[in-house]
Amino acid sequence: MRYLCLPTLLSVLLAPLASASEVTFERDVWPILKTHCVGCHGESKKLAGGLDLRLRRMIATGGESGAAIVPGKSDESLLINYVRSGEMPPQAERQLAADEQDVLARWVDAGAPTVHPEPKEDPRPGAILITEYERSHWAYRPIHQPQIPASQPEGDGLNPVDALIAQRLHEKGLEFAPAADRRTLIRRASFDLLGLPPTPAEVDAFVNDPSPRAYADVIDRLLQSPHYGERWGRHWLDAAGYADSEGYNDKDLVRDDAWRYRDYVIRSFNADKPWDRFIVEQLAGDELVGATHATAEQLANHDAASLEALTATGFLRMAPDGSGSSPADARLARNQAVTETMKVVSTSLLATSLACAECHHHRFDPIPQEDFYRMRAIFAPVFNLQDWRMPKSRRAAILSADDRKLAAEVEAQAKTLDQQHDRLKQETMELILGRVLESIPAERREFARQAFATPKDKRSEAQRLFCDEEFPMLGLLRTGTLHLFLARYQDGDDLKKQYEDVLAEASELRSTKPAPDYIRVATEVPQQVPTTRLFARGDHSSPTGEPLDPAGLTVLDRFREADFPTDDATLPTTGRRLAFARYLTSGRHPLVARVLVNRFWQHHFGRGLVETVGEFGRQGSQPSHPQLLDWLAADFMQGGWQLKRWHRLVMTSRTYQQSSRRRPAAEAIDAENRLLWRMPVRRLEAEAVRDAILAVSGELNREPFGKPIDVEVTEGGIVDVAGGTVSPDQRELKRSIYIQVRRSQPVAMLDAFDAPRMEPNCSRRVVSTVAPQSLAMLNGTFVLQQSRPLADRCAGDSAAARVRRLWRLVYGRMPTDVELESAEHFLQDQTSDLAGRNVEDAERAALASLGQVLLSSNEFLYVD
Amino acid sequence: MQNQNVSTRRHLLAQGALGLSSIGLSTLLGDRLDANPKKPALEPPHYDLLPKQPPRQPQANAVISVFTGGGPSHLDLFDRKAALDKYAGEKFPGSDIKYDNAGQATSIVMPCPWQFTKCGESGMEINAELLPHFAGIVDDVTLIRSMHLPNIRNHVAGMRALTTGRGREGWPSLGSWIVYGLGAEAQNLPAFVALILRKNPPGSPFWDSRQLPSIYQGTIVRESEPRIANLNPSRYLRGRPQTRQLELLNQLNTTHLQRHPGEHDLEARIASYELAARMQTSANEALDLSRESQSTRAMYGADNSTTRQMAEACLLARRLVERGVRFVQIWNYGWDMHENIFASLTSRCQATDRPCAALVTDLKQRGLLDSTIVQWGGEMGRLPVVQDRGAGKKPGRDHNTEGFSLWMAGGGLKAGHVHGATDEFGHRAVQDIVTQHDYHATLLHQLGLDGDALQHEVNGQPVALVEPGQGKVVDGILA
Repeated sequence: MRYLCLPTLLSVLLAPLASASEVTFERDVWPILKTHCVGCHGESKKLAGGLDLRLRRMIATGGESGAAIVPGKSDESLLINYVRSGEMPPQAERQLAADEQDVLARWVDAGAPTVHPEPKEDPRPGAILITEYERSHWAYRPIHQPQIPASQPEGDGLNPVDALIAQRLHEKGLEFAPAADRRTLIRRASFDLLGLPPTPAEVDAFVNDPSPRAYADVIDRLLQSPHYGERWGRHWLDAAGYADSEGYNDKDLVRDDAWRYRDYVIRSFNADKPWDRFIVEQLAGDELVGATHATAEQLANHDAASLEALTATGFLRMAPDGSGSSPADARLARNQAVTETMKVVSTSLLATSLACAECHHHRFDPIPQEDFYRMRAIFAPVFNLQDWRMPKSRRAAILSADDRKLAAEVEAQAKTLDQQHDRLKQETMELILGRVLESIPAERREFARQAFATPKDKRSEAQRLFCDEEFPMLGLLRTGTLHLFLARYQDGDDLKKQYEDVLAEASELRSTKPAPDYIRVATEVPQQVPTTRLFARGDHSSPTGEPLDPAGLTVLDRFREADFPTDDATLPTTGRRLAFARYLTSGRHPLVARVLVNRFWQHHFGRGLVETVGEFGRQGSQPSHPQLLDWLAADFMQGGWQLKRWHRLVMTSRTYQQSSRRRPAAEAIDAENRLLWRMPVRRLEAEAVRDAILAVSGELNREPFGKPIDVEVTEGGIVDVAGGTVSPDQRELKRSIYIQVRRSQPVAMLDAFDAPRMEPNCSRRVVSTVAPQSLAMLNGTFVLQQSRPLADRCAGDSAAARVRRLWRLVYGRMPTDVELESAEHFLQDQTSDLAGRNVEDAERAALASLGQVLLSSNEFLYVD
Repeated sequence: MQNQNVSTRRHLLAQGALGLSSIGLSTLLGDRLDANPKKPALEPPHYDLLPKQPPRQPQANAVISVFTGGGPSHLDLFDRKAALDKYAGEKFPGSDIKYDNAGQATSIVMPCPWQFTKCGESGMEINAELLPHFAGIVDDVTLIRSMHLPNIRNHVAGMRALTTGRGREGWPSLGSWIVYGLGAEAQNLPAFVALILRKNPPGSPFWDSRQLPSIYQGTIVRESEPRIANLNPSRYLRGRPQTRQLELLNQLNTTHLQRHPGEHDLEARIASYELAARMQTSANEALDLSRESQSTRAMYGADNSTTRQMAEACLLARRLVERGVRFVQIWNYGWDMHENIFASLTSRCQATDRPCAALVTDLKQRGLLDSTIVQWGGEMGRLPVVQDRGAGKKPGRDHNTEGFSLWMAGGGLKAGHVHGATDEFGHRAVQDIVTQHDYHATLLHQLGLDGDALQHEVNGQPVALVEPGQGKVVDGILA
């Protein structure tokens, strides 16, 4: 069914190929054979039954049992009879569905046609065959910026986004919804760009701004806010699989220094760093600045640009890595860290399930198993299974210039103390030697002094006997045993204290040296470039076949201008990742820009133009607006890969500014709103729920960056930020992006609202509506705590004034008369009930409990 | 047929008695949440816990698992081996022993000091000295003597294997899979409950939904208050003040919904607050053991300090399952007996034998055993030879994942039946071997699910409890 009913969209795209009703080998038959049959009949080294199903002519030739098909006669064709009887494929779970069998039969009956001529040469035994049809999959086609339809009923000068959305709407007889009102719009824009609600003052200013640029000004202001990077950085951290712990096993060791990468991401978004640069830095920042494992630390401390580029490579260090946790199987743990990294790279930038090809050719997409390992070869110089470096050894210590200077000064002072200590100790040594010599007869003292002064292994036999046997005290006296001698003298303790105090002083002084921070880096060791081979069945202990050179996806070969170097002579490193990153950002790669703009779109409209944001292969969904996707991708690249420009374009569109109201007539045509005849209503993400509560309670600590805030298990058995306490510096009240992401200990409040588990990353968050969310809002400590300062912000002479203030803070609007009346009643009754329970300051507690109601309400938790 | 009746009874308890209109709620939830998201997803996928019709007629619709973590000694409880007496104190004459701790390993055969007895009409041979109450229910039990965890030696990996199918970390747990496949009959209680006695077992959580949506996560019920996180309002809001909050919240949300007609997610959240409120009532009711009669409490041993902890856990499990909870797992970690095994085993059995047997008896008396599977066992058994931790230490037995026993009862399984066998010394499973995959496939099968088909897609890749072809349904234990 899936194959016949490919959406009309595709048949439009592929019109020259064949009309939808004709069955063709390329479009209809091959996907079935690939999924069910060619694993044994063509793509494995050993050809089962001698039958190769990769080409039409090979099928006609057949195998040991003869021709597999008789064109025109499906009931005489072995292939059809075998699949119909269930004899083939032998595995029950692989058998063809009835409609799939029918496709094959119809194709044979139609004379087994192909659309394109088949390759002249037979494909290599076992090789995966990539057909022209597969190469023409929408995501693998070049990105061509489509023409914007010239004249529109809406008038010329239309935002290109609107032109392309309107085109599809009009085809279906749909219209845009009216524009949303300004209160709705500023709330929408504010949550979209900052993850925070607008303040009442901001709402008022916008609502009362007569300027025609009022809305554009709001967007500009939001884009300049330092909170923008915290919001959009979080989106990218989902894709990158950011975590503050190593995962893999239940030790789940803490990564003390991953946050440097998180801050780099936030800064990059705030600075509107072009994405081509952003990608190159993350994949190959080390190569960009010529750093190796040996020189990374020096470079990172040398200049800000190098530090930035090296910090960016933390991207390649985000996947779970259990290699440093004494895992049961060390090789397996290492291999797993590489595989997971490959998953992060391939889903975040290519929306390709490359990991499916780790063990065998991809079952659905034209990705041979070799592709996984060729791609892996790009990263192999960093992740060298033979000469593995533990997570702790993949770091660079960072000190500011001032701190380094300070450290050097402290060290110099401490060295002086060291010398003073050595001198004092030596003097004591001399003193004790004198006392030992006194116990030796005077006439032999000179001999004794000489014997003592002679190093042990240079002593003559006479000297040795003298020191070791005749006067063993002399033989025993060394710097290392001095304290034992001192213990024998009354003044010993004082003597010892003299030099030991100096040593303690030196150590004390050293402890004042500024301690370095670390960045997690991906670097190469130039002398250690491993060979990459395919692992049979994905088993890391079974490397097999010829060494594989680094390369991208074979199906995209035509977009690559040159082979990647295996070892670039102009760089201290291999240059593999740098070449790969430049290929991805060359402007020609068909996936990267589409994947990125689709992801951005998802964060404004709740879902991507391609729903499956992390999967653009055949198993993924089709773009709802292929032309718009391509237009945006092309425009993004031409516009310098800059996201803030992109936000302005999309957010000033009529499409984005629509109201979210449903219209029955439109709903009857497109219930899913795939064509965007209205703005969807979206629930706040986990972090936005928590941050927005802190923002309206006035408790939000807006301090950016820094070490993650620890999570702890409370007595009630709940994982909470710092166990539910607040320290004097209020770091626990910072934005959620700064909370430690411990894979094994997700913060209960965020977890309840679908914060992702990083295993290894997340392309699209689930949105659930479950009772634990409601329980957290009703009874959870966090909301209860925050409702009190919220109440305190709602000072006013009358209950009505307090209610109005509360409404404006939480909803950004005044209460209606009905709401005001209900709220006043509520306060009155609640106050008297609470006072009856001897609750301290019942009025305040009642107001807090009213605030809690608003925080729990849909109007607060959803964006219109 | 019986299933139907039991199911109805569960529903009555789960919903009717608690004043929940099941029709109203399921209609409210049902027409908006897509139970089985299709591929490619047209909407961001939504998941729910509504009861789902399994592909096959189920034999059971609930599971209580008593996870005796640490590895109860099958040789001393369920699997008598004459050879251990014959070779007592001598060198182990069999083939290689797979040790976990080679340093303390000896190869001196250690017999079981207790007598085994043929019990019940089935004549199942077990250690009735340590398990006198279990001896009374053997005719309701299928005892598997041929459990085997391939390539796994230690606890954490073993517990993962039994709860997630794999020794490696990071996969959804059995309970999550079951509620993913079946939903729950009670919408006002958690669908999957992990009852933790004392502290968490090492390597937990074993009730994590991992790649499955978080709604399939097990809810922790602790042995003391607060039993469920955020269940109860803070003291000053309890009762009327919180009800007043909920009333106003409902009013605000309803007005808001009027401005957004047809917005299903908003309706769902309104329902979810109603649900949370009901859950406060019904979970507190379900967790209130004082509602049990004195005789029932006595039957479980809840009135006795030795057995109270396990008794209360078993009682809670029964109360929860009775009210429509799908999967309850009691975590009783404390069976890892590397030294002084005979004394430790005696005290552990004293604490748990009566409650666990009472659970089966009680379920049977209430007509629930036919539709509930009770499973008892840990992630391993013990070795037939002495583990010696040094001078002054009494002997223990080391880990044995090569062969061990677990028992199951109810839910369409054979009663009074023994399946499989270990070798002469009880070291390796040799006959009718059951791996964790087979065990899972069987459990799912009895619940009407198909292990090969129960899959969830993550980033375009299927995740499953039982990989296709990996586990076989153990036909030999099906009634």
